[in-house]
This record gives sequence, structure tokens and C-alpha cells, in this order.
Amino acid sequence: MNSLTRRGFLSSLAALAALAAAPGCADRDALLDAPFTQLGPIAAGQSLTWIDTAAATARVVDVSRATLSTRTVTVGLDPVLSLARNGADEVLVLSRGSRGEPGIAPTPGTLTAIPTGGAAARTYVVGSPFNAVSQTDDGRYAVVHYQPSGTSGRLLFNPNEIAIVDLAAPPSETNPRRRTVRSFGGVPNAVRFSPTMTIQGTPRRLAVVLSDAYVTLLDLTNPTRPEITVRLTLPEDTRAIRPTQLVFDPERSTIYARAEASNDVYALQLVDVTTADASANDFRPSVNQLAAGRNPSDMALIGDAGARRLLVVSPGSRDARVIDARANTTLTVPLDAPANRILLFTAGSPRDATPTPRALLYATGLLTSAVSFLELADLDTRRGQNVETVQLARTVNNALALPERGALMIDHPSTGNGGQLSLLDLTRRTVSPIFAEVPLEGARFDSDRQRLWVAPRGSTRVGYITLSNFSPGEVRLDAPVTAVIPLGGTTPRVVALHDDASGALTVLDATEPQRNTARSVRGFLLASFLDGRTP
Amino acid sequence: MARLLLWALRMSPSWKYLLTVPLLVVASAALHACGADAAGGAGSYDPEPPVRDAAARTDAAVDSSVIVPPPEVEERRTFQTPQAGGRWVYVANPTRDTVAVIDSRTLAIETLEAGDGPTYLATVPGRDTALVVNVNSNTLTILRTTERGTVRSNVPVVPGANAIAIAPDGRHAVIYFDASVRGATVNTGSFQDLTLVTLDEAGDSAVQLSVGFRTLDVLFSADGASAFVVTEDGISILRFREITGPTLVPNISLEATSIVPVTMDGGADGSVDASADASPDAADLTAPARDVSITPDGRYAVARVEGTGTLRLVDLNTRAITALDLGSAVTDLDIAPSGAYALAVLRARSEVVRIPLPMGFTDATTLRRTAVTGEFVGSVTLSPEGSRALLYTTALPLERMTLMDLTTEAAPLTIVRLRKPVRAMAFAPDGRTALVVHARTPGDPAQAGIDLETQIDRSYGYSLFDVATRFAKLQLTPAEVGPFAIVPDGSASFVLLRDDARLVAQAQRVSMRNFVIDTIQLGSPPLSVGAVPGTARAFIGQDHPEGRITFVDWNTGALQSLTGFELNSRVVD
Repeated sequence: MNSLTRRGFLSSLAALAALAAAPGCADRDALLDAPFTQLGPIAAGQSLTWIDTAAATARVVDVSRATLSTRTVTVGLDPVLSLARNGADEVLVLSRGSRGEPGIAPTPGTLTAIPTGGAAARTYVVGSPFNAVSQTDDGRYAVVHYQPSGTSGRLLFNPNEIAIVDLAAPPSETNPRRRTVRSFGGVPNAVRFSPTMTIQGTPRRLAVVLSDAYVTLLDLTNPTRPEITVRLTLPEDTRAIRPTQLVFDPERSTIYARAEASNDVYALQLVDVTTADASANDFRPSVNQLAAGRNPSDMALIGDAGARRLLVVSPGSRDARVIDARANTTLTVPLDAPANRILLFTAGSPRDATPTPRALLYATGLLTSAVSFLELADLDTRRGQNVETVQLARTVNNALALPERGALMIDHPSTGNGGQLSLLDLTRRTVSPIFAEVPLEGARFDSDRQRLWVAPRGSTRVGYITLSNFSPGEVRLDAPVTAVIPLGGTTPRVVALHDDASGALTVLDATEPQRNTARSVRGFLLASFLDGRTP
Repeated sequence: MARLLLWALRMSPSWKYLLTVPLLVVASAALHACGADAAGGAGSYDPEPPVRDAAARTDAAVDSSVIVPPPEVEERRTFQTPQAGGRWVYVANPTRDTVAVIDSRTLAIETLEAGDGPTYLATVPGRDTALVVNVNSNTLTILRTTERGTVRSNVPVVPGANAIAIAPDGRHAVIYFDASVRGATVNTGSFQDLTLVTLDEAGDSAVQLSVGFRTLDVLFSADGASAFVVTEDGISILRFREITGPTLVPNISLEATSIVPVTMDGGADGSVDASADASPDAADLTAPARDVSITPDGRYAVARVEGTGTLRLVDLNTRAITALDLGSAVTDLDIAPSGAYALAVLRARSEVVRIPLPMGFTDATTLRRTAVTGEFVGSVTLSPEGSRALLYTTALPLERMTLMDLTTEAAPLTIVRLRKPVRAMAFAPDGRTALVVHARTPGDPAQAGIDLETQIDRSYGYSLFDVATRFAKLQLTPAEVGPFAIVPDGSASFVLLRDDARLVAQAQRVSMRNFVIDTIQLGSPPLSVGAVPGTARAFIGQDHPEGRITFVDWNTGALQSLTGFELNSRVVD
């Protein structure tokens, strides 16, 4: 991303200030020659945060003020990952620490939480050089772990080690809590989090570690209790079962797991168990397998708690399956077009304007350009009568429900001539194409989905579609744009990034994007650039 | 071995219902032949029952002097895993040394280690207690389940044990080797060992006993105080209170007898060629008893020998044996649930003899003979309360049966027309209805050009019979009628249908009140069916590599399935 180095930067300054930029002092700080590599930016609140990996610093740029303010925060050595904390205006930075070098003491891996509002950062010592972070939707908990293909850069490392961080609590000896999850030979592929489940009458949050052929349940509310490992195959089964999707049913305390190479969906009902040992788990998963056709690819819960069922689609199949998980009975609904994705929404239909739960079944990566609307009421009796097929002009890349607009935005794969969106009217089932002269891969919705923003790389223009009336617009900027980042908050803003290693951006008012109200700033990444060690 | 094959056994009707209806609740019937000899061998079932000639099917009166029929075939009920207690269902997994305990109310599963190779499992009727024989460790694991979980204990059992008999009061069990069990293998050792287990939550105990050669069956007195081990040598009586350690239990032989001739006035008129069923010399004391029943009070045993007209009454207290020669081969014998009398069927004479117990063996004037004129009957099935009997034959393709009213001295008969021949039948526990499984003739019922009658003849099916109205309803099925169960209150039954080649995997829920049938499509081929009285559900065990069981509310038909419960044994906490 950047070719800038501190020494190069100093050399430039030397030329101006007649400073001798002597090359290759034997004991100079290696930082001077380290590439100026940035992670980010990460949007959180009204700020953008970049991580200087060599300097182990975070630069928090507040764009909410008329004059941008920049703050530098120290993070752990060797930062490898940064992300916004869910539900909070904070940036999380995962650092691997240092194994120790001449003149550099070994330091443990850390997770640093940086409040963008200016409060002091919190550093959680996770110990090992992890390289992945998963967090709950509300940002309360984070699990730090290794990616399956990751390496530690250490002589030895335990790929099943994790650290559970309570981000709502300050760092302490018990926060984070490090542990090794039980393994059947696999390593964690991903970590998912449950919503609040009721177990033994008390609310619980669970972390579910997905590994090849098994899942591991961790009670985040009782982090000292042992994990529960659930195999998805018997030992003699040679299939490479890889769990990839979880759906949680809090009302029934049930977790549904979909796995690659399995034609079954696994239902894990969490059953209360009585134990006098406070350190033992007070629940146990009861495993059930639900036949779901061939290679199920997506699933979603439908119906209310009293009649909860699982809707499943499979690639190459021309039907949808509605599974009653309790009875393990399957209702097959034939489709005119294959589908491998499910999108649930509530809207009317051409026959009935009353908003009711419905599903859009569509396919990504397949040749079909048709989508199926499935009305979820009276499915048992109407079956295929509840399906309406709508033909699109092109295949589907992605879809996003805009229920407040009564529409569905469909992203079609880009071609050499540019991108295309379709606006599918959920009530009338009509399709309105919106053509773009540029690819739309980088298109972003703003936080309250008032507009869809697009900033084709290399262009000096930022485009948008106002979703209230689907009216397109654009703003010309002074420099080519590399990306566009919407920021939330009471005053929504959109930041256009420009290609400049020293930092360059333009801030737009997201509600009234105009050139004359835009503010541009450059060089903010050089603030404190020379702080710390000097040659 | 030929002698072994000639032996077959069935419980007396009274014990059938004592053991199966009030306690185990259902008649979970795995259909296999018990009559053995010509029909296909002991322990096997011939899918093409002896309907040799469709043309022989007739609705007219039968002239049995022309027909030399094969022996009657009585299908014996066996219980297969899973087994149900009052609320929990138990499934043994021999390959993983575990037993899955499934809560039929919540479908929660508790998987527990048993011994090495838990294979043969039975439940104490009406209780959530299961016994499983661990064949590799020669132990018995006893599991007791409550809301708090399952408690296990282990006791040693005799090597090779593969059968469990549990006393009606659930306080004792007899563990033994049953050579008729499918897959039973004869290892070195003795055929005369068994284990008596005393079931006590405070501490289970076991004691090894020596009995007669080859245990054929184990029966109990109604009060649960005694067991009667039927062997080829006779009957070994286990008085539980008297057994305090390993001991030898002597036999009461059924063969040492003093025949008491009975004058056969009012016998057959000679119109039947009874050569096949003719009574052999009554003095032939070497003929082994084929069929032994015990009265509920445990006082008497009644035995018959296939192909003879001789019955033997054994006073189990005095060991005195009294024989009764009825003059014509007794093809079936059932004891009334009360134990007050026995019903003997003389097929060659199309006659049913009601024999008061024990009086009928010493006073011929007390015998009540009923001629089933114009019919051909060789088998009898008594209703659970003993008020009715159904008479029929499995030897010929007759599409009829006879209902006998036992509530009056006259014992009036009613001919019931069926649409297909009888293969097996069972009364509902309340005696109001019966389920009749039919035989079929070979051939494709879907063959083009055949008439409706032929289609029906070639189809699998069963009939439902209402005793009060004499109404019968035929239900054809897409596959052979497999195991079936009738729920304890008699309101519903479940019939399993399986044909892997045709991808038939169904259970039919039958209302025994209105005979409406609801077909349930199953995800896997059904294996077994039973009832869980505590939750008013039937369970259907299915053939699935990771285990599948479906629970059906027998009142509402609501379904719940559990698949992959083998995986539950792999949950690591």
C-alpha cells in the first residue's frame, strides 16, 4: 500500500535541511528501515483509525470536527489485525507481540481496545501470537484464536489455544481467560456467538468454535466451565464434514449447524442437566440430524416460536425444504429455479398487500437469473402455489432487503462495461435496473441505509443512489478515490479516501453530499511520524 | 437337531397379556414363524406363506377330508430394540458399549457406558428400568432412570446369555441362552446354566443356577414369586424366596406320565381324513411336549405335543402329571387369562374343546365341545379378557375366521368373512378390536390385465376387525406388514412397512376406534415399534447409521424424530 519508510522520509527532509542521511549505521533502529505499512482504516463512530504496524501505533482521525484531529495510541508489537468493536465506538487491534530480539525484550500478544472518543485504551494481554478475532454482535465478548492456516512465528504453538476477552470489563488476571479447546485433530476454523439463550432459566451467551467434523461450545457466562465438544460424524465416517453456518433458536435453546459435505442439518438442543458441581456445565447438547436434501447451502428459521421450522435450500436443487425440527418431517416445495441463498423479509405481494413473512430464494454463482418468492404462510397446504418466479436480466451476486423501502436491492456481477443493480419491488415484484459505468464491488451503504455509495477506484467522482426515491447522484472531488467509507452517528458522513501514503481524505455530508461542503485533508498520517526512537 | 427344530414354544395367552398388555403395553410383533417344521424352520419367517394355490381359496365351507394341510403356523411376538420403559426409551449400541437413554417427552438423550458389548436389552414393564446383557463381558447392566438421571449397576451373568425374562413385579429377572434367538451361536459351555438376578435399588445381586437341558422359555407366576423355566427336560421351578445361592434346580419331567383315558363321546363323525392330524398312540411317552403354558397362579402347566391329541397337566406343586387324550391332534392350545380353562383346537374335526382346569383332565363330562361346522380352524387366539376367541387357520388360504363368544355356555359362533387369508392376528388389549395380518399369493399385484381379486390376493395387507359389530376392514399395503404395536388402551395401533427396493419406509397409525389409517412417511426404513405409556407415544426405531427414532403421539399423530443419537455418545463435556 505504501512504499514510504521513515528513513526515506528523513532523507527527504535531510535534503532540505542538509541533514546527513548516512546510510546503514550498524546499530540504528530497525524501525527506520521498516516499511510504512498501515492496517485500516477502521471506521468507528466518527473516526477512522490506521495502524502503523512497524511503529505499533494507532492513529485515530476524528472527522467530526471542522478541523480533523489526530491522536496516536500505542498498541502491542506486531499488530496483525484491526477491526471495529461491535456496538461501541472502539477499534480493536490484535498484536502478536515479540518473541524477543537483540535489544527487544519478548512481549506477549495483546488485544488493544481503543475508544475513538479519546478515552484511554485498554490492553488485554492474550499471551500467544494469535491472528484472528471473533466477537459477539454486541461487542461484549471477543474470542482471540488462530486462523486454520495461520502460523505463529514461534518455535511451538498450540493452534487450539484461544483467549476469551470480556471487552466490557477492564483487563485483569482473569480477563482475558486463556484456554485450549478440546480437539479431535482439527483446529478452529471460525468462532460464532449465540444471542442470549436461556439455560437453567438464566440468560447465557455461548461461543461456538467451528472445526472440521466437530463444534465446541463455550459458556461465556461461565468461562471457567469446561467446553463441550460435539462430533458431527462418527469416527469411521471419512467425510470431510466442515461446519460453516449456525442458526440459533433462543426460544427453543437450539443451535442448528450446517456443514459442508453433509446432507443433514445438525440440531443441537441445549438440555438442562442437574449437577451439584458448580464448576461443571449445567446443560448438555442433544444432537439431532435433519435430512436436508443434497448439499444444503443456506438455512433460516421461519415461523414463530410455537411453530418454528427451518427453511433450507441446496445448490442444484429445484426445491426448497421446510423442516420441522421437532418432528424431523420435511415439506418439499418445488421451485422453477435452483437457489442457494435465502433472504427473509416481510412485505405484501401482488395478490395480497398485507405484509407477511416471505422469503426470497436466489442463487449466487450459478447460471440462473431467476429468483423465487416464497410466501411462508400456509405452505403445508399450498406448497408450489406459494412460489412466484421473477426473471432478472442477469445473475445475482448479492441481495439486500430494504424493507423500509419495500424493495430488494440485487447486486449483479460486474462486467467489463460496469456494474448493475436491480431494485426489486417486493410488493409488485417488478424489477428496475440501475446501470453503472463502473464496477460496483466497492459500493457501500451508509449506516442508516439512506444511500448507496460507490467510489470506483481511480475515479475522482463519488456516486450514490438515494434509496428513498432511487435517484442517483454524484460528487466530483479533487483527487482520485480509492475507497468510500460511510460513518454513522447523528451527523452521518462519508469519507472518500485518496491514494496518498501520508494520508488524504475528503469528508462529505452524507445527507446532502455536495462538493462545496466537502472538506479535504492530507498528511495526517505523518503526525507523530517521527515520535519514538530516532536514528 | 431335528428334534430341536421340532420344538417350539409360545406363551399361554394369559401370560401373553400379563406380560405384554398391561406391562409392556403393546403387542410389538416381529413376524416370524414359530411353528417351525415344514414352514421354514424355527425362528424364521417365510415371506411367502403357505398359500399354495390361489384357486384353493374359497369362501365356501371346507371339506377337510380332501385337503391334507400343513401344520398351523403361529407367529411369535418378539421385542426388538429399542425398548421402552414408562417414559424413557433405551437403545443398546454394542459397537460403542453404550446405551442411549431417550426421554420420550423432551427427546433429550443420555448416553451411558454399559459393559463390553451391550446387545440384548429388555425393560421392566411399566418402569424406567432397563437390563442389558453385555455379551463380551458376561455381565448385565441395570439402568434405572429418573428425572435426576440414570443410575447403573452391574452383575455377572452366565456366558453366552442372550435372553432376558423379567418377572411381572419387576423384582427378579432370569438371564439365559435362547438358541432360537436369531444369530445365537453355540459356544463351549453348558446349555443348562442361567442367572437369576434380584433387582433391588439398594443393591442388585445375581446367582447362577443349573436347570434342565436347553432353556426354551421362562414363565412367571402372576405374583412374581416364582419362575418356570421350560426346558427340553421339563420344567424347572425357581421359588425366588428359597434361592439363596448357586444351586441345582431339578426338573419336573413332562414325559413321565400316566395316561388317563377319556371317553371321546361326541367326537368326530369320521368325515375328515385325519391322517395328518390323527392322534398317535396315547401310550407313546417319548413324544416331547411341544407347547407349554402355565396358569397365572403358577399351580399348573399344560403341555401339548404337535401332531398328537394328548395334553398333559402338570401339578407344579405335587409334580403329578395327568394326561388327556382328545382323540385328534391338538393343533393349538391357549389358556384363558383367568387360568380357569384351556381351549384346544382339533383341526381335523374343526372342533374346539373347552377344558376346565384342572377338572377337565379327570372328569370328561366337564369338557365342552364346540363344532365349527363347515369351517376349517386350526388356531385360536383369545381376547385379553377371555370373553372372545378367534378361530382360524394359517395352513390354507381361507379368507375367513370364526368369532367364538365365550361368555355363554353355548359359545355361539359367528363366521367373519375376510378378503385375504390369515397369517397372524392379535387382539387389542381392550379386546374390542383385532388386527389380522394377511398372507398373499406370489405375483405382482400391479401386473397388467389381472382382475381386482387377483390384485388383492397378490398384495400385502392387514384387516381390522371390530368385535361388537363384526365389521372388518381390509387395508392393502405397499410392503410386507412388519412389526406392529397396539397401544395399551387399545385406541390405536402402529404397523411398520418396509421395502428397501421400492423405497417404502412407512408407519401406519391406525385408529382402532374408527379404523381410519394415517400413513407416516419415515426418513429411514423402520425396524421396530413400541409404546411409551408414560407419554402416550409410540416409538419407531429406524435403520440409520447414526441412529434414528421417531416418536408418534398416538392420540394426535404429532411426530418427533431423533436422528444421530449415536453422536450423542460422542459429546465430550
